[in-house]
Amino acid sequence: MRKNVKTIISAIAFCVIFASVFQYITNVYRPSSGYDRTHIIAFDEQQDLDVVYIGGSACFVFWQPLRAWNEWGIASYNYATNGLEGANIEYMIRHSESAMHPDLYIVGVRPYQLWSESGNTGTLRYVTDSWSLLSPARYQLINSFFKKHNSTEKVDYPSYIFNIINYHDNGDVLKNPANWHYKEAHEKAPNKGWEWVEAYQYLQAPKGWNTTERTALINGAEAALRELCEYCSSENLNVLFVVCPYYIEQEHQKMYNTIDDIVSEYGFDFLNTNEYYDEIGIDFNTDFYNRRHVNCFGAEKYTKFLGQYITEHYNLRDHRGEKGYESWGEDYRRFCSEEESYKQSIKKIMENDLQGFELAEKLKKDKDISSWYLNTKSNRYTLLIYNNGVSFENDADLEMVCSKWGITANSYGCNIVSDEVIKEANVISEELLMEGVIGKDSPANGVAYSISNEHLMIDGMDYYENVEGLIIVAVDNNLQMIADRIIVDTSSDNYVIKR
Amino acid sequence: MSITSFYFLVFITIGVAFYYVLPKKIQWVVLLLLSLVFYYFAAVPYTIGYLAASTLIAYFSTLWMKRKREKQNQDAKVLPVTMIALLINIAIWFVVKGRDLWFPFASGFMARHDVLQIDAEINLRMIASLGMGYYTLQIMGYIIDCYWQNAVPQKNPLKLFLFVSYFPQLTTGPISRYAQLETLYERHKFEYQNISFGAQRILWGFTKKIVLAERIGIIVSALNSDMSTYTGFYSWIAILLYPLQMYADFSGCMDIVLGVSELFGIRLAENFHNPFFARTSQEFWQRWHITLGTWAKDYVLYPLLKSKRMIRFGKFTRKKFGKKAGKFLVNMAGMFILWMVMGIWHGGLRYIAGVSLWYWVILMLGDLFAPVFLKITNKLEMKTDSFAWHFFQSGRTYLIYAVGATFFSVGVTDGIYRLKDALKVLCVKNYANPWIFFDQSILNLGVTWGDINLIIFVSVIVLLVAILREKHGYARIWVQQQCFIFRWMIWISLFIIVLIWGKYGPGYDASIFIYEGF
Repeated sequence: MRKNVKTIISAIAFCVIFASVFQYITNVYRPSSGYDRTHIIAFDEQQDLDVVYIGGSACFVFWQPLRAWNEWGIASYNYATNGLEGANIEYMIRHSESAMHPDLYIVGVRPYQLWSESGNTGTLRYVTDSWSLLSPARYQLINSFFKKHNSTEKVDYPSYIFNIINYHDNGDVLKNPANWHYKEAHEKAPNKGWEWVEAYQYLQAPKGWNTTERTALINGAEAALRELCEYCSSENLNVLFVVCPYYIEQEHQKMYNTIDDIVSEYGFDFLNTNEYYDEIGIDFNTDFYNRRHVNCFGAEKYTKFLGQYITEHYNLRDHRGEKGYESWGEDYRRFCSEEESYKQSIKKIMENDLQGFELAEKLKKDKDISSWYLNTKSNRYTLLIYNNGVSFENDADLEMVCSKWGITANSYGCNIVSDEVIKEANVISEELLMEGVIGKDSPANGVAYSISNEHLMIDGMDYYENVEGLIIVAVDNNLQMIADRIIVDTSSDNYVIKR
Repeated sequence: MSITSFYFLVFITIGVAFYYVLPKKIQWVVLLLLSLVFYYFAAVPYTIGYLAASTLIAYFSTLWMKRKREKQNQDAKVLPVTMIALLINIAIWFVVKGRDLWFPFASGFMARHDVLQIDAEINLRMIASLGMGYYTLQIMGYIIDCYWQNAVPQKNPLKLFLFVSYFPQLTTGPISRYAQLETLYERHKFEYQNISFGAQRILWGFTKKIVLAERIGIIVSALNSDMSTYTGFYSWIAILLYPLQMYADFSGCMDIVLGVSELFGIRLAENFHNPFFARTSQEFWQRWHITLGTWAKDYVLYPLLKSKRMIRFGKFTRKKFGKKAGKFLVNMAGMFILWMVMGIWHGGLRYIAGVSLWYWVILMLGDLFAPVFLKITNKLEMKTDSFAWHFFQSGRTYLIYAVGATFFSVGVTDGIYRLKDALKVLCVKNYANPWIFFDQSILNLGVTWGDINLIIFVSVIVLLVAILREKHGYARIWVQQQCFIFRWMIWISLFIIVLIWGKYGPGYDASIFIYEGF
């Protein structure tokens, strides 16, 4: 009997050590840096939050928790990851509820508008790989995620459940001290989930987007949203569904109207801040870094507006001066000094972009093809060339013509389209179908183009014209705008520029 | 579901729980159900028909034998039925699994037809069942044992089906005897030691398979994929590494299989006993794939040598060539058949070349020149009981196996090319390229220095375990005698090695075992 007890105790002790080693190694090998993981990892370290803001990048570059602290004494956190899928949100709330009971959840609804039928497993990994192996929500989310999406590939469940399977051969992580101190997650999100982005894009306010029409959500999105509402309703949670300001389109608005109907059915509030540009004071010329995201100037305005809204509509306590919240004030001071630096940098980018407008104006006045080309020959521009009228039998002929204007063989003839090449201000010429994105960071934020027979599409506009010669469009890479478009008549030797 | 997969681990965990929780009298039913579930997920499900057919043939033939003997005492009629039962099993195996042996010839006869189409049709219809080579020998052994009255025919066809389909041994054997596996039908109570020993053995098997064998496999596959580029010392690397890969792969699989079976309290026969410690090729085959060798000896060689024709042949040769030469010739004929059976069982010409002919020639030459070698060692006053001499003998045995394994690995034609190239290093001036060991060329084979260090490190552990096994029967017996901190450190370290350095997960397929195809 005594021997049996000893055996049982030692077996249990061995299993505990075994499991601990497994958890530790899993943590060491998990990716632990980058804005797609750190906000999720660090969430488990948070305590006594009043507001948890859940969303994708439309959360962590919009809401500034430390500013909200300074203004209203609200302890909030951006529980967000890049490209978050709607299917994750319910389980993020479940995970949060297992540790704390915040007064309010703010849910960014863009993940439901951007729902992918096949499922973005990357975002699933961002979330579930950042939670403890023992979190029940983790297993529920993995199971639910694949039920809600029609994955074309066989789902490798074990690698989601025990993610060491996915990461164990990435020995490079061992060089990263952060991976060895995975548990010390508070260092990973010093700004409570807010992320600085040093970028700027000139935009003009969207027009004609507002409508009262409705359109159905993509398959699966509505079910996920309803499940979320049912869960929150059953748990008696305060939830505010929001759409943050961005370069909204009418089709998006139709979906948001549908989302509004659904959440209202369950008695939850819905706030589409695109309807409050004036109240927010948002300026599309200065407050964005791409069409979908505000820069820190825009975020400041958004935080002030939303913070005001939630303090008026929800019963949130002011914790300033309370014991246990001392570090928030210190964090805010550090945040301010960081903000100052970022604002300076963004202002510089802004000035540079304004210069782009001036250059574009100058370009539009140029009538000589050689000098026009010289002015576009910089990293600022990408040239899209369409030759029409069968003037050239092959690329060599076209090259010969171009060389007369100073366009050299090195800069011409780029058939491989990649961001890298485009940034080199190369010339793209192709009679057959060719498509890509000219942009700053990702296809979602760049300017899409395609060249095909009788079409030169740039950002949804067709620049093709049925004239003999070359159509050349100069796209400003920084501004992501068409700087100039010219037509060169190659039927004569004069190569006259037309616009 | 491969036995190295995550799902298999979950499967056996659930299986073991059911096995010990449910009433002991139905434990064999649990094993049968687990075997069916495993087969469903690990193989093409309908091919279980082959196993069922073999079982039914064995079941009816052995029961018929028993009745004939008991009621009518008609022993003479038993032999034809035994032969028919054996031949049907051999025929099924030959048509389905030994297809490589007959199809090239059959396609010659069918030249008028669209050979490719026929090939495709036959392939489609004749997907072999999992572990066919192993269970066919097993069921044949059972029929012969019943014929020899060494085993009592099993009255319950489902129990006999369990003997054939017992899931741990379906992947790569071992080839069990009926008497050994009668424990399947016994009641097994839960014993902590069975679980811990079983788990330890599975972990050790995983280490050999997914840490060592898979890494060596990367190098060997790269070398075999472009033989014209990888010449000189690369050929030596391929020749010398493949046996190590095969050992780590096959014995690793056996460790998993034996470990899994141990969890159920069922000990399967060992298939390996430190083969690279063998000093002669004969000893090597007593330590390598032991159950195949003993099966072939017990059911082929010994009955053959005892047969009337062989005795007559022995008398004739002794009369004609003298006592010594006569005995040698009989031995030579018997061994030829034994090795041919071993080679044919592997199912292809490369195996007949690499296993049968090569070893038959080596063993016969060894036998023939044994007196000469003895004279030379005596003349040179070699210390034959020294470590150096043993080391030399083991090295020589390894090299002999490596040569045979080259055919096994790349086939006859490429094998000859590879061996010729390796010889050029020794015979052709300026052909050797030793700089490949120093100029990072080895890194072009798809491995890093980290991988190479790991191969060396794990190989050293394998060697240490082998030494411990020689001294203590099993290395784990020695480990068990140590204090618990040291013991736990060993198993947890091994677990970490597998977890971090195992070749598994997305992008890897460690599910195929070299010996799984037989």
